[in-house]
Amino acid sequence: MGAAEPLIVIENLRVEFAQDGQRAIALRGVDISLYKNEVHGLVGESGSGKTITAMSIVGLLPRQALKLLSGSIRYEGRELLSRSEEELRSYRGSKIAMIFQEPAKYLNPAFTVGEQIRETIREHMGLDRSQANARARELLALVGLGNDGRVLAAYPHELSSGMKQRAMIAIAISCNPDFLIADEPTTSLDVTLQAQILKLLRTLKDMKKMGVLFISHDLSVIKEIADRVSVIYAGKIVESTSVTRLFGHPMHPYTRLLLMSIPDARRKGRRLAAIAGQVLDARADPQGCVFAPRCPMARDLCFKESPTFIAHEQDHMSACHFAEEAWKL
Amino acid sequence: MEALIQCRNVVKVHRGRGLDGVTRGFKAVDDVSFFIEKSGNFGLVGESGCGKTTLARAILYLDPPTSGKVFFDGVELGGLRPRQLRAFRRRMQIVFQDPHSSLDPRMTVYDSLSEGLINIGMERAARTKKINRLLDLVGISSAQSSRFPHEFSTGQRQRIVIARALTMDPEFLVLDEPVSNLDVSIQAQVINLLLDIKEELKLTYLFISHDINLVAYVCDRIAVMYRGKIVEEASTEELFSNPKNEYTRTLLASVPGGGFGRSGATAADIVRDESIKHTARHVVSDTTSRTGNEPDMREEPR
Repeated sequence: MGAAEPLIVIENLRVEFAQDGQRAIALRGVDISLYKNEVHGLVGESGSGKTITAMSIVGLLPRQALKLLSGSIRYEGRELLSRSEEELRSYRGSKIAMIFQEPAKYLNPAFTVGEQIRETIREHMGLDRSQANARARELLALVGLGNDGRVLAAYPHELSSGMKQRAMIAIAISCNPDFLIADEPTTSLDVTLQAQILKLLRTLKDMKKMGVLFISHDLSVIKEIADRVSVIYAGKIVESTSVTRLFGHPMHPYTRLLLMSIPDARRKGRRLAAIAGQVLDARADPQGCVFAPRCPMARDLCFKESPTFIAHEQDHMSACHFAEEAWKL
Repeated sequence: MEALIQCRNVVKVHRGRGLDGVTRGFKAVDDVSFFIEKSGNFGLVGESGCGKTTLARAILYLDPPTSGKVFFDGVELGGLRPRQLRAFRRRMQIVFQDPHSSLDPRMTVYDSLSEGLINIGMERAARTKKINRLLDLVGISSAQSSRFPHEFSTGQRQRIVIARALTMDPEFLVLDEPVSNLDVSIQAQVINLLLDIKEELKLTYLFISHDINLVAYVCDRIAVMYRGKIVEEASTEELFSNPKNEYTRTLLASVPGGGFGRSGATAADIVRDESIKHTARHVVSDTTSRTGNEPDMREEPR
């Protein structure tokens, strides 16, 4: 895993929007390296910049509101940020595909599932109608929707939400992308369905050796599916390491507190760690650490100087002046 | 122990006329019986659409049950006249999942909390005192009571909804997915708050959630609901250490990251096992242990 060249490298990505005449900072320096055949979890609260990160990779940021986009996103060494819309379109779908939280919103209610899969295949792979049809059938079987063509002829409203998400996944992987971005794909599903979709994503990843960026607010889901995790807070990656290390020995106080705030039946009766205060306002641009105002460990230095995102131990990056002390919290 | 809430064979049928003009019924709650002790903390868990909320609404007589009886503090609610029922309403309240839609956007927090108190004819001074005390209890500064809901974050709004539910000094609170819309760190704040006020005000909870892990953390007893029926009911320890029902086991195994089902087994492992068992019947089924006769696409295609 570690030895190979990363497929996608994001460096110091900064995104700002104009909001009611004011500057809102969505991302304040995101660094992530994404590899093939690896599930990279991106975890953070709502508004922390998870989806903006994903949208930057596929070049789908709302252009009107965008004020600043700096840093770099390289795909196999080539810069994506300077590409034209035309060039990006050939990437999307064929090289990088994406699935979302609410499949119902992204499937067109007026077309059958079959038509929607065929559209993508024909656009990117240049197959004729019958080839596309055969491929669509194959894909539906792959995602567990049967191969008798029943779902192929169904409209989205005829499917349950779990089936819709499977159909979305079928469309996403239809052109054999190297990379799949899954933005909270199981959040609106019941736990039993969630377990099945997670399993399906893992199987597909193993089968196709895809890289996956799995976005979630739920640390337990991340623990279930990811190989590596980045924790994002207020538009900044604060910690990044393997799943085992993150859960075993967190090196950022935010991660540590998040882990302690998950209700666990086995720790019944013990008070949950609640992180005091509110998430940093997007308009604020503090000099020091973004988490300092809510951090129980914060000292003078934390308010004065922003910690750099560096490796504190082998393969364990953290942006905290006192990373070594975080696990004691 | 005395029961505050008792349900006996509660059934709720939703009726509707289809396009063909034929009226059909759908049994959303099917013969449910259980009781909740005074100051108990009772959890109701199950997937979406299994009838959790319908059952809660039937218990509160917001949508009276089609058949069966609900007793509140020993009194059968079905036998009451509307006026008498209203007196009981005061003693039971409900908190919904989405605080955005359960607060009136055009009313200030103070006005929202006043409504019930005005109805019972409380004087302004006493009202203000009470509202300030409740806001303080849920951790909202009383100086903010003249603000509108949009000026608060989701977590704060849910606190306000909880404060509003408490204005009538209820004994029984139904919490219908109260933290499902909240972020993890905020979720923890609200759970802590709910457990604190339960202790302080000696409340009885019916806690509804799809998240068995959360329900287990909060509640002492758990009922597992599946397709309108309660398939298993036990104390939390009992349910986790010795789940008897197949569906309960699937649910426990589906908890991500943990795997309560068997030692060391992850959700994926168990689901795989389950699906092997069921593949013969459910080719395109999404829920592993679906067995009923629901006439939709989820059933086996022939």
